[in-house]
Amino acid sequence: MRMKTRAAFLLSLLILVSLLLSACGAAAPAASPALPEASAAATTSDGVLTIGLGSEPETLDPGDAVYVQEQFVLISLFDALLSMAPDATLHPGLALSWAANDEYTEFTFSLREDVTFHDGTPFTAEAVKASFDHIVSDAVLESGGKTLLVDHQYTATEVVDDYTAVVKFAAPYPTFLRDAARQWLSISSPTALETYGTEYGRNPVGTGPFRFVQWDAQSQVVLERNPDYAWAPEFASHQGPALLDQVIFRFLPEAATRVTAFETGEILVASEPPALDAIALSEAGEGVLETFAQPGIPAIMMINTEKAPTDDVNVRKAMILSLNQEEFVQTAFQQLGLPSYSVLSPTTWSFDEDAANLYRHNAEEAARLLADSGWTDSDGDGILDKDGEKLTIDYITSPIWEEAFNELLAGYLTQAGFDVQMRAMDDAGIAAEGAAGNYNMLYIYWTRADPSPLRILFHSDNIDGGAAYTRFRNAELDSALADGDTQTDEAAREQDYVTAQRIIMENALVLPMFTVNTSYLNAPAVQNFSFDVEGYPWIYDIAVSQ
Amino acid sequence: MYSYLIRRFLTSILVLFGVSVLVFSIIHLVPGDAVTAILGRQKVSAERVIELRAQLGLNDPIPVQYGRYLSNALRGDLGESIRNYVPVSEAIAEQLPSTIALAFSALTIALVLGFILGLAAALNYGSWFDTTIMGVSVSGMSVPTFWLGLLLIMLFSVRLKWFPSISNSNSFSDLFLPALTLALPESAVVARMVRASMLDVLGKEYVTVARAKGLPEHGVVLKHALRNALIPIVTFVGLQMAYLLGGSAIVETMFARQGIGRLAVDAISNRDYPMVQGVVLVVAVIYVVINTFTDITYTFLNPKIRLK
Repeated sequence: MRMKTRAAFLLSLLILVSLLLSACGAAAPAASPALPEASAAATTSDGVLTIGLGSEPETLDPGDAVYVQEQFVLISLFDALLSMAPDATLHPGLALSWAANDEYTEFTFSLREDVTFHDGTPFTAEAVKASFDHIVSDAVLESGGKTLLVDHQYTATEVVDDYTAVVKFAAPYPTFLRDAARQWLSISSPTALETYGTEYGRNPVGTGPFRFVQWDAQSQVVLERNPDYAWAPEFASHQGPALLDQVIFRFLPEAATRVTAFETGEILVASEPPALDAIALSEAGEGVLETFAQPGIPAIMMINTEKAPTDDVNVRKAMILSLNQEEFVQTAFQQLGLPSYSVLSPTTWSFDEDAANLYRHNAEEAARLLADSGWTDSDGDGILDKDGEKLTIDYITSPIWEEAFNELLAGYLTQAGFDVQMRAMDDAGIAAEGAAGNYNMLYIYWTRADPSPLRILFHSDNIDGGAAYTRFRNAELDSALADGDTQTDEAAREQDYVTAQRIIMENALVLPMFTVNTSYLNAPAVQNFSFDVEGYPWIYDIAVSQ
Repeated sequence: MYSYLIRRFLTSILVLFGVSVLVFSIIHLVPGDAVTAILGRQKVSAERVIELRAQLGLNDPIPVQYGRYLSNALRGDLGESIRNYVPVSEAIAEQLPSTIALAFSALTIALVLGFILGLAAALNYGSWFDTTIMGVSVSGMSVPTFWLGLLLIMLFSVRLKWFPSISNSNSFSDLFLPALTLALPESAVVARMVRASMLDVLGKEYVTVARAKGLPEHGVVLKHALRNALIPIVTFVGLQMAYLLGGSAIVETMFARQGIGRLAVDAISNRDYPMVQGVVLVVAVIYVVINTFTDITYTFLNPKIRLK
């Protein structure tokens, strides 16, 4: 019997080993067809660019889009009436020229006559009308474009003739020309809008340098070159059709997976790679790291000026002075982040240097300001107190967005004698607490080439039920922000936003942390990589080298 | 026997009813207003919130909403995604085959590996081989999937370049790594169960009798011992199959595979409530069906159970 068990054991072992061997043996030939293809893409040009994105679009209907991941794809599929160069200047797009009336309520566009949609429909003023009417219709529940058009009371698009369209609003909309260059307001094929109805978001038809091929849910979106494309913006580095045959967006939600797929050559561009891996790979010469500092509101903490202890300006200033932005950014994001010192990031139009120079890390000054306001450490526990109350900062966080830095930020504040109480909750919870004013600080950022979001975030009209989370009431700030929204004189408008930035920073309404950066890890074969004005890869000019 | 089956079916229907109530309640259990939850931090006017409420049918009394939900669900209509208007049942039908392929491959690997190792360990009870297998299996069970998956990718994709790190289809090379990642911890559990169950059975008197009658050892092990040792394992396999179908979210996300696990993860992070409800409901139905089926299989393997 003893012998038999031994035999059984040996038999099992034999089966196991042969199984493993057969698995390995079978694996190599089965897998080999997949691999030459993948590694070949990294070294030779078959004109296919594979980009690994962290999340999947919800729709490819530009009028229905809200999220960043949608813009990556939309920029290649669609054109807008105007186009915006990387330096934020306006250029012709589908419209060759344009004019606004004095009230900035009516905009006349003279359209190109040589444009056809991917489905063969000729581009005319009807397409402009159909696209804008579609955005404000019930077919679109909630979107970036809808917010823009509805907020400014879009009334209609008048088709004057085939190549002249007048877009009308009931409220002045001085920033419309800039918004008309955004992907959210780009122009769809009227035929496709009608044919597909609510399915249009899965069957987009535009006039862009690439046309839609297929969308496999949770896997990929495939685009191919539009061979008829002859209306590229004048600032592009070439004209005519795009250089790539195909663009494939792969949805790889795990950052670690994006890096390994990049290493194996399965993707040529990895978006938002983990900082340490990206730096290591670029230093090893296996990739090129491209970063873009986004314009708009950088990553800031909105400080509640109504709730103690942050109702005291000294406390708010001490919070800003306690944070060593440079060290903070280096620790959290390595060289992929930039410190931020103001409520606008430096790449935003109207950014004010003086407002950004008001505060630099200074622990002694922070301690002095807190002492002036009567905060001392009476019981020696390292936390300041006054009249038996601790210097407590109620910080409501979303662990999804803020995990990279919230502990670190809390560390700096704790060192300065604050007692930081973090409350993690989901977005709905944050929205509810935010509306109730039940917090001392709250995180926000907003990417936009124009400073106009400042009104939504700081005008006192938006304190109740809105997003003015600092709950600060100041007539001068309100009038600057209101004027900035309707002012048609560029210089006066710029002055409005400079005033607003100064008031915001002088009153220490926000704790600036870092500029939100987008980063891409590109294979060395990827040529002519550049960014558009909002930091999306400008795929039209990209080539894959031999 | 029949009364047992009928009882079992009725219980399943009751469970499914409970599940439907819970799933329906998801949208009403979120803190604050459902519409606020959907909008998240998007900034919209108060009128739009009211419009959205009406559009989602949230203004009707809750029992009316539930009735509507149940009658639609019974007709296979799980509503539309509020993010991209795709019918929920269509989205699930599109993703389910991928998850089923993954779960079956993983289960196959887990059973084959687990049985071989478990049998070998049981037959060599107390030897160094037994100790090693059991030691390795404890660590196998404790390894988090996301870490194991990364290690396998590092080895098989980055170093050896045998398999792709992105799994895009149900071909052998695409399935191998994700299935192995899911299977290895499972195979450790199977090995331990097979071993324990075999040891238990091998000590029974009827096995001694079989041996005493002079049956060859493989006959004793395979015919007499293994069949009886199978009962707890069948239960386990049933539960595991359901678990693998619902619990593949991590592996699907890591290998960027299509599948309902990832569908659920994405739906949750997008606050796409109809989609979350749909996936949870479908997974729950699968659980209940497989459990019922397992219980019935059980009665065939062990007549004692149906007599009770």
